[in-house]
Amino acid sequence: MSIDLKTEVAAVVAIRWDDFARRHPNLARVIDQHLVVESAVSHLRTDPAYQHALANARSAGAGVETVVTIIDKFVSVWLEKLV
Amino acid sequence: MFLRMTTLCLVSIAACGCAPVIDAELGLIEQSRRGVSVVKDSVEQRRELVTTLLAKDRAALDEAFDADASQREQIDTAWLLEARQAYAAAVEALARRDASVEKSFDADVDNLSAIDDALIELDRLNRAQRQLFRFDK
Repeated sequence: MSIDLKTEVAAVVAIRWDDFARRHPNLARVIDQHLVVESAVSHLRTDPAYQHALANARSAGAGVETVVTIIDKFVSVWLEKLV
Repeated sequence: MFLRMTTLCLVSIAACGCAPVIDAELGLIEQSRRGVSVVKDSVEQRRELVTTLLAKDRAALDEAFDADASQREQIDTAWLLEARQAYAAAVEALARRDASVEKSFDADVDNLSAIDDALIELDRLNRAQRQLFRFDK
């Protein structure tokens, strides 16, 4: 199982982006999605909780979907912690 | 005796021949240091310009946040939370980018300083060598 964290985080952000842009058109216009993705990836790489969850999923033989769910969850947690 | 004379002749020839070369080298070192200084100034000017542009991104973010809020008839908690999360994520991303840009400028300045230090050392060595040839004369 090979997961590219940056691609997955970009996908998670992209999924939410259209709804977000509808509700916050001005912010969506000035926020650089790529920079936000870089920031989230950098955070996840050093987040022990995320690393632990990922290791558990891998040792349990979890599929890509599970890993993507974990990434989604931890990106949400990261966003919540920022506020 | 012959060997001593030959050595003395060679040293004299070297001393007479080397002095102009050393002077030329000192001139080149001076020019190089001036060049390094010009590039250093240019890097600092670029840093200033880029810093101004980066600050504008932050200002644009603030304006966008306010514009979204003022265009909204009613601000509910969920909307506000989402806006604040996005704003915070963007601020963190900008701070990360700014730090990376700053680091790159610092590296440029450090490298130029290292080149200048090496040139200063070369200048010192050349001057010492020139002094030596003057004593020979």
